[in-house]
Amino acid sequence: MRRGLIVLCIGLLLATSLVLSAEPTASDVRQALVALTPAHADEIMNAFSVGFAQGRLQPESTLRLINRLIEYEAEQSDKEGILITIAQTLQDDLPTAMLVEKAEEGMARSVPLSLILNGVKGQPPILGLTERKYLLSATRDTLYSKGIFSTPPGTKAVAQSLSVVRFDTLVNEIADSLADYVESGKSPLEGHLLYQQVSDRLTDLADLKVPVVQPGDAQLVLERVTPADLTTVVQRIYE
Amino acid sequence: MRVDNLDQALSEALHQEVREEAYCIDRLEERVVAEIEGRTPRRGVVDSLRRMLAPTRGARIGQFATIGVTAVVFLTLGMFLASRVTPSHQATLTPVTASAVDGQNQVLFVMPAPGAHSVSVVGNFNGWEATPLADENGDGIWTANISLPDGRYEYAFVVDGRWWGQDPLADGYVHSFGEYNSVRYVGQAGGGA
Amino acid sequence: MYHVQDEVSLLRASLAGETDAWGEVVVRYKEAVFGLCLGFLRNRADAEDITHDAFIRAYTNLHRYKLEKKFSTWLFTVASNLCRNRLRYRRYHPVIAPPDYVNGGNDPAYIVASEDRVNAVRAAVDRLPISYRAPLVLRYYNELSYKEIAEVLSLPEGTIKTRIHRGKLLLKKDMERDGVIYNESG
Repeated sequence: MRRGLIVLCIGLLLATSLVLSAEPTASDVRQALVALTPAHADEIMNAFSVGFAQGRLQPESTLRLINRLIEYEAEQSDKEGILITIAQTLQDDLPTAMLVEKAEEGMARSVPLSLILNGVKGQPPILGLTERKYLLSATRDTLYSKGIFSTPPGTKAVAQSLSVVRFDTLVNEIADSLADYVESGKSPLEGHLLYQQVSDRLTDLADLKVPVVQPGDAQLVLERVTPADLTTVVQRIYE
Repeated sequence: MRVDNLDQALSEALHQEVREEAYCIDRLEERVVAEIEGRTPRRGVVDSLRRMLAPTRGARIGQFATIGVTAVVFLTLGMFLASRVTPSHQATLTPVTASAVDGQNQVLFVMPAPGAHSVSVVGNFNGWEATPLADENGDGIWTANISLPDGRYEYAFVVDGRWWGQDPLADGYVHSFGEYNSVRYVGQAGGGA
Repeated sequence: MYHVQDEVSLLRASLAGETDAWGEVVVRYKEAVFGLCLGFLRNRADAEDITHDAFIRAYTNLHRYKLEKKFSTWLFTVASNLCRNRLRYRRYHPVIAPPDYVNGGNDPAYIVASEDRVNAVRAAVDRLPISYRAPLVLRYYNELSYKEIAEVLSLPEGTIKTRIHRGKLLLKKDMERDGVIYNESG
């Protein structure tokens, strides 16, 4: 009888661990990090853990990224550079969706990692993760300067503040559309074209049956942010 | 140059524009009635064809090549879709249908690639890892139905290892790493009264 | 009173399939609809297309129009939605040659050199993003009330007021940049 119970318990434990192991966890990510970059694993993992908790990073896609980096033919310093840039973005309290996606796309296209990280000047230019990180930061600062911000969960909500998710979405989509604009080769001095590009993106995302951007949020941004603001953000990339 | 009253200037400017251009709606009522009574073909078809053959955002050098390729792809696509669409349906080429299940949309990806050995789609919805397309009846038209929530998606096709970034069925294109990605918005609320 | 009844009987006749009655409706509203489309799309060829399409679609969907509501508002909503689709389509499928813009382009030299203040305004309107331009056109061309504009564009009335206010600010700024000095009032 007792033996039966023990066997049953072991069986349940095994089954549970099998089920749990199907979903990548934070510790899986840590393990992969240690395998790839023992020197920086701790620092990166600290930032990633916060990212997981905030919902800005998912263990599954992060693990996939790290595994791909491990197998990719590239300099170790570039591989670390990709992950450190993402970690630093999280440390700056910014969303990272755009960076992870671009890194994965670049590797799928067999683009050299140094190019994915640093981009290439030219006409039209190719932006690297470093420049995209700057766009995220500059976009966030611009929104703040216009009185558009988020309050973290747990703090008292101020009237007109957005949830972190909604604010992150705005930052990510605005920065991504600015990046698209720069990579299309158009002039940064055409503020109204920049503005139109951002406006189109936000409006299209608000226009879905299940909006990705809330129509009210899109309106708020388009009312307060001006073409000149966007030119200021984008011009630095061309310097 | 001074403008004393913007309201007035605005109203004046808009009215003057209409006065200048309104000649083109002279006898519009006759054309509308003719169409309603079925005496003229549906404008939409001819216009749609014209628009379909319009070039995409290709680089200047490759523009004619792009036009040529686009036209060929469209003709092939047109034949494929024509064989699927019954005559009673007016062909609105939106290969997305909302499914009743939890807000997911069934998105159809189509790539004409006769003679290809493998065709897949890569995009930001699958971590840029290949989702294979299939050509079940061997007619060279490869398809896949992918379930996606509402959103904006960037993607490209990979045909026998070669990337094709300009899907004619896409809503638009963006530059990426010196080439093109296709963009689709899934879940757009339709227009109409 | 007579006029309104007249319109209602035209619409009833159209619903009953009398196409000549609809023709009369087109005559009465085509300029207003064309003005809306031209204002939104800034391109005569597109405006002509969409005006035509709007009357076809309105006729096809006439059974959905509620006779006790204001017909013009409903018709403008149809046109506005078609314009929105065309603008979206145009974004996704730009053609090589620029469209036949009403004002011959955005060249500042052209604007400054010309003493015609109307051209300056038109050029500035060309450059306004559609979310600001649409309410302005409905207000200053179609002369709709805020409430009607809100209905046509499916937006809250408060938003319409804000957009009109900010739209005018943007226009002023844009014209100042081109050397037009704006003197108060409006």
